[in-house]
Amino acid sequence: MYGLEIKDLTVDLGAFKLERLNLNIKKGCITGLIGRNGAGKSTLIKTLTRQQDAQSGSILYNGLKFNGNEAQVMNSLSCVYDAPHFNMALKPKKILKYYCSVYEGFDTERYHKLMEKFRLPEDMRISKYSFGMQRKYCIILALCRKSELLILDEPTSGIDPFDRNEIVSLIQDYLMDENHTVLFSTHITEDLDKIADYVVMFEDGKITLDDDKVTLTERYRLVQCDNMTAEMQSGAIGIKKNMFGYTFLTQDKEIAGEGVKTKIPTLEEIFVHMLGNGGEGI
Amino acid sequence: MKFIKELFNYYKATVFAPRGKIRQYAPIVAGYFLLILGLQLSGLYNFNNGAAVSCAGTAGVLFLSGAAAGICTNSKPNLIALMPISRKKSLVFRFITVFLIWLTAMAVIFAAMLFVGLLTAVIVSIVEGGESVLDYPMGVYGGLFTAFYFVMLYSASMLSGLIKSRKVCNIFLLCFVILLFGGILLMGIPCKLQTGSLAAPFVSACYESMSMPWLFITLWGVAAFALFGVALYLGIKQYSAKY
Amino acid sequence: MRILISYESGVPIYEQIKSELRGQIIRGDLPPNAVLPSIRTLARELKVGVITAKRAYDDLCAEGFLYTVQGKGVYVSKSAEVKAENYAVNEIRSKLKDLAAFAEKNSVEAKTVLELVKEIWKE
Repeated sequence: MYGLEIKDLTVDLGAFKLERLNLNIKKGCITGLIGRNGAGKSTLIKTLTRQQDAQSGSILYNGLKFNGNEAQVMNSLSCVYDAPHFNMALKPKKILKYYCSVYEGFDTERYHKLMEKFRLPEDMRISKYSFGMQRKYCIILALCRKSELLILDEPTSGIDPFDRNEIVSLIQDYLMDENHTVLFSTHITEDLDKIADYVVMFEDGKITLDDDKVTLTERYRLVQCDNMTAEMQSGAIGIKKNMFGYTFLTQDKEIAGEGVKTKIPTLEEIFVHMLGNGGEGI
Repeated sequence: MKFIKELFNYYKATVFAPRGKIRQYAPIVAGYFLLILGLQLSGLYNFNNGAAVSCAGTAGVLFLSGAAAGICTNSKPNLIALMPISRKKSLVFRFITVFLIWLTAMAVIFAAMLFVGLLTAVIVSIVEGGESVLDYPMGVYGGLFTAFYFVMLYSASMLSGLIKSRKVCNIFLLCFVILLFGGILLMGIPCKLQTGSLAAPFVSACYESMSMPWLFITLWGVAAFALFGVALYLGIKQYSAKY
Repeated sequence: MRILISYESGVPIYEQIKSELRGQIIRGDLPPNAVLPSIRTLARELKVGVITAKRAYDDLCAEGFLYTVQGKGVYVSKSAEVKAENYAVNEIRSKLKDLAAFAEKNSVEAKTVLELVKEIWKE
């Protein structure tokens, strides 16, 4: 049912805190994490992948507790961070050998195929790769493992649109198996708009939105108008004013009138109007 | 053997750690290492004793290996935390990896010389006990002290990796070095050998002129294992996940 | 089988998928009992979320155009063609009602509208 069950998770980093987070990530779907920089997405991902300690709470990985099942959980979890998690002075060959030795069922054939597809030289130190190439390499490493949970921290930022398309395809390929779960955080709402099934929004260490994308985009309307009536004001979220009028989000689907245009908002429009709003109007 | 294979993977993962954080801590660790080594060598300069020099140098490298391993483990994200092994194993590997890194360092640096010198000195000195290549053989007490000295430096290096707060860690290391060498110097007083020499506790001649040598050795032993106990305690605490 | 979707049209993606599929069923491109790609394959090919694809299929099953066989797949139902045509007719009827209301509001006579219809149909 759920790939990840997070209960009352608290992570205290001094200046920043994730407090009593509750979140369930469904299996067989792509869940997107979105939020401004510093909202807590990376902290959550680091905590989920055991790179960061939490103070309290519990996390179940495919129903398993980490304590007592460490080997199984870590084998079923593959992740991509915002920076390569190994020494960049190494060459891919060495890293490949390490991975094959440590993790069960590393698909070497697929690895070589993907390296070729993304034109990544196998004989060059990772430090000599461009930023985008480093990213792609980390993604390849994560995808060639026999894992059930794929967690990615901004997998497509810094990658050109052509390769981004490829990577999105690969993530969808990963989901052809219904038992797999994907969680990724991103700024690129375009990717989320297309393939995300569930969307979770983070603000200041708290979750302000947790819905499936279809419901979300149907619940709200983006309104563009010349003047705002009092009726509009009451339900409006994230009002933005420009030379020509006002743009805002609303749950009121009946809004209509002269000089009023409504449409179904894209995820980007939803977030731009909701973020920085303190979660009002949700 | 799976255990050995996993241990080597852990060792490789520790060495493969991203270098970012290392750049911050390396100067501090290197500083303490040089301080320890410098104090030892300066104290030993007038005191021709191969055993003490070897022990001091070798133990110093052990300290460096442990501290370096601690830094690598703490620079996250890294491959170490992602290894599919139980926490218990991870803790055990962490304590063992230090020795693996130490062996590597010993092979790489000129410490091979110190190692050979140590072996010769220890074996010859304890076995022969009398006139040997060295002016001042170690004897039993000296040997015990050497063992405790190793345990102390090993434990201190593990603690430098296990203490989370950088401030606390720095204070600890500073106090440790002060107390360590202060203690050694104090030992030299009842010794009635060249006063203030840092080699005194390593040689048997020192204990011969003491009234209660067993007392001092016991105190060192207790201090050494107490330090080790703290390191073990912190390690177990860190590796039992609460979530 | 081609399904075209646009992200700018303001119509929910699953609705677009549904209308594309209905269109293909009416035209006979998808005959009765033809097998459709699985939800996940559809999602991957169209680059849409799994839930979106599932919603489209579920809705069309509820409307009677498709049926699923547990463990085997999704198929076009036997009476789909008829249903599709009925559906199209109903849609046109409702659109004509809107048109009629619009014409009345703007004082356009029924005669003018009928002539316009003939003109456009000739094209």
